[in-house]
Amino acid sequence: MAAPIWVWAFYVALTLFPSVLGNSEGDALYTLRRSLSDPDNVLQSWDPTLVNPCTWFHITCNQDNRVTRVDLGNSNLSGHLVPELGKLEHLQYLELYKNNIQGTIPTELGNLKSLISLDLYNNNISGTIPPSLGKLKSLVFLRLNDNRLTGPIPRELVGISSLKVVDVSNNDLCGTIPTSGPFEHIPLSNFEENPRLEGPELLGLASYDTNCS
Amino acid sequence: MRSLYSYLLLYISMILLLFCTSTKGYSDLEVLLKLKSSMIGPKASGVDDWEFSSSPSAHCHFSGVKCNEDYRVVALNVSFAPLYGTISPEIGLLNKLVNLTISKVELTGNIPTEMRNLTSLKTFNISNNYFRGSFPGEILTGMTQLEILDAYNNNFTGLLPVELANLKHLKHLSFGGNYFTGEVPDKYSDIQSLEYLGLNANDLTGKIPASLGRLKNLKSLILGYFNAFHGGIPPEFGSLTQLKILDMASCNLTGEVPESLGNLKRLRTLLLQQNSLTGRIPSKLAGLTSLKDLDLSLNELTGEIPESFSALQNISMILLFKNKLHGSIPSYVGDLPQLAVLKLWENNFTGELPENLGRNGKLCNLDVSSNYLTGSIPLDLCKGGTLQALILMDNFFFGPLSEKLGNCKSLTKIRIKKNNLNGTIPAGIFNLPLLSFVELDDNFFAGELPPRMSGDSLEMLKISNNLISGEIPPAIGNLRSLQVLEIARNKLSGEIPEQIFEIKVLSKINIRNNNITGEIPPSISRCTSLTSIDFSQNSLSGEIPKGINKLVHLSNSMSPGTG
Repeated sequence: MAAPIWVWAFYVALTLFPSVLGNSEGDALYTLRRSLSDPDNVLQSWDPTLVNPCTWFHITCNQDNRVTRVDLGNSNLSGHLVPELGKLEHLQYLELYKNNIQGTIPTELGNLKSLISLDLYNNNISGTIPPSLGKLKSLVFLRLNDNRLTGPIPRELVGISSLKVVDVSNNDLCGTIPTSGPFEHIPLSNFEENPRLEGPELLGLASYDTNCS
Repeated sequence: MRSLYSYLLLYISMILLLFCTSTKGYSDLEVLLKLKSSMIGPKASGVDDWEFSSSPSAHCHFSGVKCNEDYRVVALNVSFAPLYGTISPEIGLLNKLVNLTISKVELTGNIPTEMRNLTSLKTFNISNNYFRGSFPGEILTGMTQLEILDAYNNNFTGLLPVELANLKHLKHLSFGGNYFTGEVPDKYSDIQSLEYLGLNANDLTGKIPASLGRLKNLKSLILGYFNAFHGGIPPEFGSLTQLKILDMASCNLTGEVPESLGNLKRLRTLLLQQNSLTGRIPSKLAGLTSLKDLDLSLNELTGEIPESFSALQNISMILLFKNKLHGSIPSYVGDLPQLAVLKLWENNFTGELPENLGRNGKLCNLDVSSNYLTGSIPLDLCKGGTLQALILMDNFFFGPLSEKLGNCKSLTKIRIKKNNLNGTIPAGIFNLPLLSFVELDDNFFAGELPPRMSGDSLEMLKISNNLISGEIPPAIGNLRSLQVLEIARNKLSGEIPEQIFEIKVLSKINIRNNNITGEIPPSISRCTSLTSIDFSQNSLSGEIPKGINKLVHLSNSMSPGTG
């Protein structure tokens, strides 16, 4: 008699899927999901096997199904960011504030050429602010306050004329505060609570060794 | 006699010389060319047609330039050009200028104080640039004809200029989107001609002057975003009887919403969201008979939606989400003739939805999720054929879904999971042209899935944890956009239709915990987009189709009984 191979049920979890299905933006975001710890299950809908991430909650796409917003503020997330985030070329708003994210800011975030708002404030992020962020020529809001960032404030940021709001307060940054370009009008209070930050840069004088790298 | 003649000659030539030099040596043409060289900045781009000419009126044909009959420049209108430079002090020589509009041209630098000579100016628009430094208020004292001053979205710092308090014709004042600090000047209440006052998105602090309530002609008052005012909304704002727009969102407001705001009979838009407002929604706000858009969301308001709001016959958008409101949603809400958007989510509302909600034929977006609402879902939500989003999840609604929803061709999203709904899911829902998201999990829906399905836009179909019986219709294969199908924990029987695996983008299928029998259709091996299947806890038999190996890497063990 023909023996059924299996009796009543099986559950199959597929670990390999054809790359022709892969949506690189969905893959990148799924890589983020895998490196985050998500006790409240806010990322439950983040299914990388779908045609694109546009049906995922907390993701917004434009008419061409390219990701324009990631809204995960105040979501009880921990874990760390991933370099793959830099692939989201149409991303305008990266909102990851008020979580418990650790690790460093990937230098690949400098590839987000459409970015308008980078909000990583109130996390546990360490390491330095990547100079590559100076490539974000559309950036208006840069809020990195209340983290554990070290190193200098990259001078490359001075070239972003569209910057209107910069806040790096409550970190462990060192060196001096840029004063040119958009930094001319950022209030000093947005740099406070950085014990090793030396104050506004002194332009025109010989550079002094501030022991900050 | 001869000495007198030569003396006269000298005198006349001196006068002539004086006459020539008194025009300071620059014609308007020369001024514009000097302006060009400073405006085009390091990239040397923009206003390319501004070139030297010996003709005295050539400059009147420059792009953006208008002259009067004396070839004096009266209007300079340059926008959306890539200039990147600065404004040179020579601009002060264009003293016949009436309209100066240089907007969105990437200009930077300070405003030259020589501009005080532009005493004929009526429009002064330098919005959307990168001008910096303090705004030299002294240049405004002589601009007695000024009607429009627009410096929106620059990088000005320092205090707001007070010199404009004496301008008798100023209608439009916009300093929003800069870095002004300090307080809103009390003297601004002297500008009685003012119709538009925009100070939004700065670093302003201190108390909002109550005296602004004296601006009898004010139609728009925009103070919100990034400012951090001390205290709350001055009750004196109730005197701004011409006001149409009041925007004080996200500026650190505390205290209560003054009931005097109810006197603003012309107010169309009231935006107070994202503050720390407390207390009740004043009943007297029912006086806002012109109100179309109301946003009080993201505050700490308590109490109920006032009964008196039945008077708001023009209201089209009511946003009260994320507050601490309670009580029931008043029944008149169903009678409001223009209501299109109603978002009350995350409050403590109880009771039922008004029975006639939607009967106004205008309802477009309804979100009352995460409350304690009960009763049945009103029948006529889609009466006008405009309902797009129906979000009722996480409440205690019971009864069925109206069949009429199956004819609601405008629907894009239905999220009603976690309620106590029962009855059959209206068949038409599976045929709606724009519906992409259906989430009905965790209810008591029973009956069968319909035999006809044609929803071209349906991407997510989630009906898990209900009481659905009958078979999975073969017509499900027509849902060609379907990516996720979840009908776990129901009472489905019959076999898995082979047509389901013809859906080209089907990625996840979960029919766990039903009573499905028969074999897995071999067509599964052609469903190349499939990545996750859960058929467990059913009564399937037969063999796993061989072709499935082409698709998958089986990672989990199969059930016992393999042979």
